[in-house]
Amino acid sequence: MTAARITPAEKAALREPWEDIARQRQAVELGMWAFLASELLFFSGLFAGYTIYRSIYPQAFWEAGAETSLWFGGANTAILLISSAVVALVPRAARWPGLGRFARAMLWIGALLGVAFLVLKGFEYREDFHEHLWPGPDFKLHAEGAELFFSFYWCLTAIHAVHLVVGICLLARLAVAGARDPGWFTETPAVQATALYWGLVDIIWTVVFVIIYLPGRGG
Amino acid sequence: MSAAGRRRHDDMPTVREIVRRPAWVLLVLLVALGLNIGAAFLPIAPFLKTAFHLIVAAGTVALIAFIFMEMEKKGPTIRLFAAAGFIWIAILFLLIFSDYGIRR
Amino acid sequence: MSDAVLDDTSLPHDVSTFDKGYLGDGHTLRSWLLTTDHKRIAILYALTLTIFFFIGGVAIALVRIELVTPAQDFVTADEYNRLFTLHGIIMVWFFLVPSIPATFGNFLLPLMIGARDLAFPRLNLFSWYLTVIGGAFTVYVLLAGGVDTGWTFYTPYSSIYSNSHVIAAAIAVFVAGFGTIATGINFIVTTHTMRAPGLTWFRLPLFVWAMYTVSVVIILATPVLAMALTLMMAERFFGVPIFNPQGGGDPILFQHLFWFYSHPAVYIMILPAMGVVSEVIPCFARRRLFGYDFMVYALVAISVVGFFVWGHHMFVSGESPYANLVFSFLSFVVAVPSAIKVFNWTATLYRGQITYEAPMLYAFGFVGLFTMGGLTGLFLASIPIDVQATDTYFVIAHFHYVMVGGTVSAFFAALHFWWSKITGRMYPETWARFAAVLMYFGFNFTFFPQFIMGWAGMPRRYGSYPPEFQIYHVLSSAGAVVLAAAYLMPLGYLTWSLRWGRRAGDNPWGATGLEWQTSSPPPTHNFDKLPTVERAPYDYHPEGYVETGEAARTIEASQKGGEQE
Ligand SMILES: [Cu+2]
Repeated sequence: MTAARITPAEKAALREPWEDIARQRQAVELGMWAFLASELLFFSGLFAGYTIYRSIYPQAFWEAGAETSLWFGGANTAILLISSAVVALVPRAARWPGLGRFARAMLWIGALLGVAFLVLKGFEYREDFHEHLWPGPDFKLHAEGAELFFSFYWCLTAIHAVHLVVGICLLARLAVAGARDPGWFTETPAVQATALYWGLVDIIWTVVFVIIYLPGRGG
Repeated sequence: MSAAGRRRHDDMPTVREIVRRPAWVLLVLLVALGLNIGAAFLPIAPFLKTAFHLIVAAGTVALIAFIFMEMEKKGPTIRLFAAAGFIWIAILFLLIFSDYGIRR
Repeated sequence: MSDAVLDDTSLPHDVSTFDKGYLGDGHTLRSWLLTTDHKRIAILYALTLTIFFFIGGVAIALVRIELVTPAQDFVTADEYNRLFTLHGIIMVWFFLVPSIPATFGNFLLPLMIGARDLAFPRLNLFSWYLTVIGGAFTVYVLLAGGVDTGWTFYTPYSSIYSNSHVIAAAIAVFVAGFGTIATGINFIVTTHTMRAPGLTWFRLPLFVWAMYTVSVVIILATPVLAMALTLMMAERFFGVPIFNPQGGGDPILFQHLFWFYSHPAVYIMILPAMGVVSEVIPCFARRRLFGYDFMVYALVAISVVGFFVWGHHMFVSGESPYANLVFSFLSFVVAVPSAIKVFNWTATLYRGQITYEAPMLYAFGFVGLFTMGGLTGLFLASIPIDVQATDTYFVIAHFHYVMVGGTVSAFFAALHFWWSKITGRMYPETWARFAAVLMYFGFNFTFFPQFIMGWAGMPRRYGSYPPEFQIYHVLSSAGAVVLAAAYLMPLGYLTWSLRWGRRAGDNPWGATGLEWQTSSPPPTHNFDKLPTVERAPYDYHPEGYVETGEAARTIEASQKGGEQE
């Protein structure tokens, strides 16, 4: 309705059927939060299963928890917390043309921290395999239920890692596209949406860390 | 509409201003992480430890959602959808434990 | 439109005489496969779902042939398992769940709220592709030899013992599930952000409310199914124990997660149907919908309370007796808002000027069959009766009355009601009325005997049975023939009407929704001038309005022109 006053940057970020960039941004944000609610429910099945089995086999879960690597888990938690603080700066800065470069730098740092997380995860997985922590015939522990703990360990961390990979791709894509068209970058709803997704990945990990790495410590 | 939301150059915050708040929150979160790890080694009953861990985790989640993800600035609709995610998890847990809590 | 256009076959393709609207936007395959127009995507969905409906129909036709005789003689027991599984998977996830939202919801939601499109048109197209990819996996399963777990994928059979294509089938459902989630998010955002000026929440047509509430149910329920299937696949593929009792796991956990989705899935199927009927009944009774506010509250209540009842599928599974009591009670509670809706539709008819066009007949069929399905649902919600009836044809009959009698009837009501809006043409009324009546009788003919034999103890999922049940099975199979004819008829006469049906005009029913204010078929951007809304919906008795029913429609038609015969 205000076609005459639309700036080139806004025009680059506008998508059909929207005529007003502010409303488009609101819409994307609402859609993203609805999607995040959906994602939470996706993980809820895992959390519910974990909780049920832990209530059935508290001792086995306690023993099995002690077998995870707190160093890897703790370091990765710190990395992810830092990355989500870094990514949180992006939507706060990206809207100012003068801070576009800063915002894109933050995107790259966030993505690199995500990669660092995955690298550590890879080393951790290797160690786990060496220690026979994959449920199966030569599984390390013998208490009934310990295998279940590690089934959930693998499922939770792997499914989280898939989300993290998607998140890294989204951050990198936004940084590349933003460098190509800095005007678009100041206006596009993709900035907010990407940052929200990254926040969710961190929220999920916060819970994963507490239920996977912390049980069974200190004897 | 968009004119009101349009930003003028002299309103632009400095990097310092942008970083300050998330940085403080990050500091709090890292300290909380340290506390949580430390608490895991305390010689107290496991359920007390777990309860503490979960409370710290809930606080962490709240800070990430409200500050990092800027929930603090959002209207009721978005808050409702975010809350729905958590409420529906609560429904799943509550009713599933009406079975497992009483089974056997 | 002018009166000169009596017979368009005699004219060259002249767009000025008949505006093809969005249908004239391009005729290449590419113009359809890459479209972001919600109306065209709706048509893509309609074609895809129709194909799957008939594949699922063929599967059950083979099952019904097998069941004509008590012996297992037409297919082997193993083939029989694969046939009913395929029927279930296809009909649930590739027809019923997406049926009304993805076709009519997609087409009508922006029109009904006075918007140019859905909020995210490209996401909309993407969700269709997800459905197609999921469908491709299903077709692969079909060609590779099928899956024999039943549509419920119960563990540990699915995750350990079954020698069929379980993983491909689960991926099919998983992918299609994310397609519906994408649609749900699109609908939610559209309803929140794109309503026309003056269109407040309590002026929304009930169909829009139904789309909104069903979308919320979709985004909160579907991911839990996705996770249940993921865990099942992890156990099957990687061999890690999750539900396997040998590793200390609990198979019932899968059932909990599965039904946390799959009971609300029944509401994913039925809420849109309720939305359709709430549009059709006021129109053909020329009455304001009775108790609009309560209709809205009932939709919201059903979609929330619908999440509290899933355990009623597990009364005999080893679920704790305490949980059984809780779930039984809550299942009775959820019947209350459903009953409110049935009463309100009935009350809408009171002192209405009722006419019996095909959409109205289908809507009546919906009310009757849904009531029947709902009331037998109350039988099954009470534990003692459910223990008796579990896994019998009584359950089969019950949920087919709700899901097929309810949702499919409403689907056809919608198809006939909005056919003129979608295509610009009228369907042949006599044929359609005949098909509607035939469908109602064919349906009861097929499924009522199943109540009786189920009550008498005939279990589900068996290809052979004791001879005393044969009479019911023969009746049911004969009914299925009638039902199949009733489903095939619209395929014929609606296709016919695309070319030879008479021009409908913009509002052949004299209906009140915004979708009727634009031309038929609507232009690509839906409205030449975006509408504003000043009234509540279902304004069938505005001030000074005299003519009703058939008379109103004749006047409407003569004013618009474009009517022949
Ligand atoms: Cu149910």
